[in-house]
Amino acid sequence: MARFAGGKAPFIRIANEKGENTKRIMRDFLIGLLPVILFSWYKNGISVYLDGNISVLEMFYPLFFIIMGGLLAYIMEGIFFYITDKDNRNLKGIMRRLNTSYAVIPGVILALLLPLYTPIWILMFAAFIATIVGKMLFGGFGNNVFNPALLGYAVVGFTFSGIVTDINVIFNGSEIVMDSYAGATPLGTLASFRGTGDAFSYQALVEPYGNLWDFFLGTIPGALGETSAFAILIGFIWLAFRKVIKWFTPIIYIATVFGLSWLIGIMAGDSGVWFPTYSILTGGVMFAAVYMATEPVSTPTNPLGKIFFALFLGVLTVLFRFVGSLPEGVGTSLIVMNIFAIPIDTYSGVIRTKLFKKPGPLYISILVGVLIILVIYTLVASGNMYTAITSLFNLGQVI
Amino acid sequence: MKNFLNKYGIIISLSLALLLIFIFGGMYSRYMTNQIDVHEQERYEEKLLTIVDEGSSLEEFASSGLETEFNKPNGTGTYQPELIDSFLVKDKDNNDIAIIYVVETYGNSEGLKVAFALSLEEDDIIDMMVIEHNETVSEPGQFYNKLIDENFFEQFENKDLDVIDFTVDAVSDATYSSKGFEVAMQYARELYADDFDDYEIIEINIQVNSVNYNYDLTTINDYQFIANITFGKDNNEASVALDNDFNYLQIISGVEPTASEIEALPNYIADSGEVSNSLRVVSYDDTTNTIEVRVRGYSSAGIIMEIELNSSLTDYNSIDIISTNENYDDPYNGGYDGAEAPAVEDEYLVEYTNNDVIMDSVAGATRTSEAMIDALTWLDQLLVELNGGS
Amino acid sequence: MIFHKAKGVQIDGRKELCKKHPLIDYLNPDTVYIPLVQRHLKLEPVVDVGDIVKIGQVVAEVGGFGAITSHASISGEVKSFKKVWHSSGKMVEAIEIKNDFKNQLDERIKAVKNVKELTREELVEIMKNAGLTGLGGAGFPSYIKYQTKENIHTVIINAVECEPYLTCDYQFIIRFAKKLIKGATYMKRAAEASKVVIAYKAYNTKVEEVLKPYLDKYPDIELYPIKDIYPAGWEKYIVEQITKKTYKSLPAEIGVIVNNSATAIIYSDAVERNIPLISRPVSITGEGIKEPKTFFVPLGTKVSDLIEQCGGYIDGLEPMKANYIAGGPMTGRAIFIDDLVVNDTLGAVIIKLFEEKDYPECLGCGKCADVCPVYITPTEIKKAYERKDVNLLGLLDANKCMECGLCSYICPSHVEITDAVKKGKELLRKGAK
Ligand code: SF4
Ligand code: SF4
Repeated sequence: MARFAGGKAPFIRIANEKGENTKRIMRDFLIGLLPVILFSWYKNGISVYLDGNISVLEMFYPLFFIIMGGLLAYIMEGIFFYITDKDNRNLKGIMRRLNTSYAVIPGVILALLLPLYTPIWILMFAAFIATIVGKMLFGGFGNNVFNPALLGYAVVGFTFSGIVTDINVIFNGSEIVMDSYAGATPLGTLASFRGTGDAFSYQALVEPYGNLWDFFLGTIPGALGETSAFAILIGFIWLAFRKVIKWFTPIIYIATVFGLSWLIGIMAGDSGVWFPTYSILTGGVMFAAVYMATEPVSTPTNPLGKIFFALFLGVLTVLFRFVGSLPEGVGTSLIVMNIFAIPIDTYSGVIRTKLFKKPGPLYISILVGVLIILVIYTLVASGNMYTAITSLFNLGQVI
Repeated sequence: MKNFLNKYGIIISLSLALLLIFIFGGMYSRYMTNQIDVHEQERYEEKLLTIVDEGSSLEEFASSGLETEFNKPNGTGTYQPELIDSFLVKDKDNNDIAIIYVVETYGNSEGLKVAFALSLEEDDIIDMMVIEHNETVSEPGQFYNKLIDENFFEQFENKDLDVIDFTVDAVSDATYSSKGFEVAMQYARELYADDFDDYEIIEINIQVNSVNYNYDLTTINDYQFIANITFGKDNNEASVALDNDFNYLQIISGVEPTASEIEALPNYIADSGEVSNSLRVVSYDDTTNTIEVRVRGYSSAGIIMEIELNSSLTDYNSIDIISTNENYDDPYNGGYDGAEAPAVEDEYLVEYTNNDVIMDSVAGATRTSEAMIDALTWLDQLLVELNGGS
Repeated sequence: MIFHKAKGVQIDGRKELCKKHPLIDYLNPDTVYIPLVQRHLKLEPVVDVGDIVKIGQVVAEVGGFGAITSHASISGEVKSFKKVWHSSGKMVEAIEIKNDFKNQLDERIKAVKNVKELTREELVEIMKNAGLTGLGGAGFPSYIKYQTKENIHTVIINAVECEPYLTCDYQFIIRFAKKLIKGATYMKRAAEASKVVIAYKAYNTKVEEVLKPYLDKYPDIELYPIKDIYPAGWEKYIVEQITKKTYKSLPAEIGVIVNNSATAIIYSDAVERNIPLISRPVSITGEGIKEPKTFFVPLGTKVSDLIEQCGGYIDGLEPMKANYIAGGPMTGRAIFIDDLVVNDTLGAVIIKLFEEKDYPECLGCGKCADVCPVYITPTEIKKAYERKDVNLLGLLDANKCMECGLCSYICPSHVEITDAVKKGKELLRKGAK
């Protein structure tokens, strides 16, 4: 009579299947980042090198920087495990912990969020905040409330805002911004409109950087990873195809930003599609949509929750962009929504099963109600900034 | 040892890795940051080079950085424009063809950085470029923008350094900015003259010692004035012949002035105050011995008189008013007895020919009187000269 | 709607393991142990140590709601009352009967003449006396379904067997196709329904092959192929697929009764010859078995005997690196000691090897919520359970969980999420009281 191992049903697990587990998801996620990594290397390194403007050493720096992001996070987690886990103070033990911790991804994303000329020590500090504070102190992989990379970026952005914004205006390795750009990233230009009462114009917002096609391709100044919608799109298709992320989260988020920006544009007296298009192509909306709003741990779990999350995120992004004091609407809204992911998850969990039975309708109306209030507030608050809104009322009188 | 490595090997290597990244990554990123400035300089020089068409490379040039004060455009004192950079421009055969001065001056606000490229051969401004400025650009068609709209910058192109009046035509509503550019241009010329020995800013230094009418009837038709001047660095003396408008005609004696001095001469004469009266000799006819003179009175057309001299050229035979445009019956001017021209003139002539007296100024016709006094005084002097000084 | 669709999941069946050999009869084990439990009810033995019992003789019973009887599955002497491992994962009291190999039948077992004249009540009574239960795994006494007051129009025979590895139903049907058809007709009569639908997995064309010939004779019987997904064998799913209607708790609400195919086969014997439920098919399979086979065995047979029939465990099996699973791999239980006996709900014993691995924590991918066939949110239930928030568990409908195991199956991080939901369900039940 042999004694067998215990276990819990079901006894077949996808997790044990080759290539169907979290490791695979994380690997695919990393592959999904590849187009962005390669593009930023191309934009900041290869293409400039080919033009003969920089040295070989400089050409490899973007890649080096991104790899360092991943490596730093990895090493730091290793040290953290060594310190906290007394039973596993050997190579095998630490590797085992690292294997189920996926430190590289936040590190790489972090590097992509930062501008190229960020000094390494700032990257180190950011990686420390991201992995140790943002992830390990929350209880490690799976327990972090905030997106670790974003937290690292936000903390660095606040503490070293001078350094980070200064170097943000650099277009790439050789084309240091001189006079053709107003000395800012596109978002900075947008922010300069705040409170001036001027209606924004294509000339002021887009033309200094080329045209919207340049925005789409990503040949504009900005952080390493955020500029190219094109590369991000490729990543998105891959991730959605591999079912690593839910395809609808980015789309709903982007659509919300697009729609609201359009409304605001119309209120400011310019109903052109260029403005909403510009809005979604700047400030990392695309990057956040594909790689951060879909980050599983810090966003709602169930599909309905993800939908609500994306909607709220879109509204908050626009709100912070036009109303808050930071041009970085995306990061701020993500951090806020990381917190609200928890109640949204619970609410949507209830709604999913109860639907129109009590208390489903109550919960639905709470979520939808808050959403509508936010939308209205955003429209009113951002509309107020533009004298052009008066023309809307004048129009009303004429009709 | 082995034990120790087993125990602490991992943490040591992990920390070491971190340290290595910190050191070497730090060096790498430091290098990159330094490269920003290098590239910035590259781009900047590239941009400067576009000012000179034939230029193919730049070479840093050690300028003397001459110090000169200029007035601030808003009139709140003076300041020293700053020389930011200077480069020699070389063509593809590596010959120096131009020099670029990047200077910072003061327009509407500080920090107006302008580059001027001066041709070494032609001694003129090849072109200029605005590098940086803080002027007002928010108003379309206003201030700085107006400079662009009105092609302000075109006037710098090929401007000769030897122009005496080395200024620019300011654009209204952008006078401070215009002034800032002007100062930059002038400062660039100063630097140029200081840095290159073979060029000197034309310096006009004329002292007018005396200006006199030409009373010599043999040459009176050739030139009307004779001026004695001291000029130039070496205090050259000369006596020069001038026409009615003080334009230089010829040298009478002494050192001949340079072209630019000649050019500047009329202003000096006019400013000297040596000839204040309004009389001009129009012509002298040596067959009839008549001199026609015009003297400005109340009207700008003046009074034209014909003086006929006797045949021995010692005295006048007659003085006739040929035409006059004077008008002194205007009650606003006080009027002169309600009489019409040439009543006053005639009165002066009568008094002069009969009594040899030049009347004092007549109330109500002051300007006309002065004209007549000038004319008669001149005639007195002419006669003195004709009679050999008595 | 994106967030509200039960798609089911295709799982690699691995049924080929057991299909190599046809159903093998193993009807005369040395000893059988008739467990004295039926679902959560304890049965009272009606025999004593030393009694000689015949095949089909009642040996234990229980009254009240869900009253049921157990029968001797072989003839022989009652040796003792002994604790044995039961498929519920616990040790239970059982009657040990030593085979005398005389195969004496109880006198009730004989061919019934007036089959055609049996009334509905009589047919249900036969079901009850035969101790017939759902052989699919629920073990719910079948007759109770037929005592419904609702108007039943369709009887569905569930031959889907959606769990991986299991082939006992499939092989049972191949062997006793005619009995299935007959059993199904009797069930139709017992429910006074107008038609019978036999649902089977579309890729099991063999089932269609063996059943087709009877369809002409039995026009009330329909075949219904079902997609190869899990949990396609789930009552609610089948009913929804066939009738396009949903119900709340019992299919009878919309006039449907669902029975397992093996139950129908046994029932045909019960009607025609009065043979009670004394045997069933069992698959002995899994990578840990040398030659997986499916057996037709008397209830109470020791699984170790059957494993021996399969050539035993594979060589070099490390039991602590294998699960001994009673039931299907999705819903079955891990048994610690390989001393299990066959009971009515045991469709298979699977020896499944596993590798010890480190798994990351729940990453919140939401796959579990996507896959849940009852649209509840396992992660939230897990959290609510960890906080012991009974109220929230109620809001989240933890009780809806049908324990299909899909959420754990799909979880890429190997989170024991099904277990957590089960516990949440339990807590809710207790807390609600
Ligand atoms: S076990 Fe329960 S919670 Fe999990 S998928 Fe099945 S029904 Fe849903
Ligand atoms: S329990 Fe598993 S399947 Fe569910 S969200 Fe977590 S990781 Fe994903």
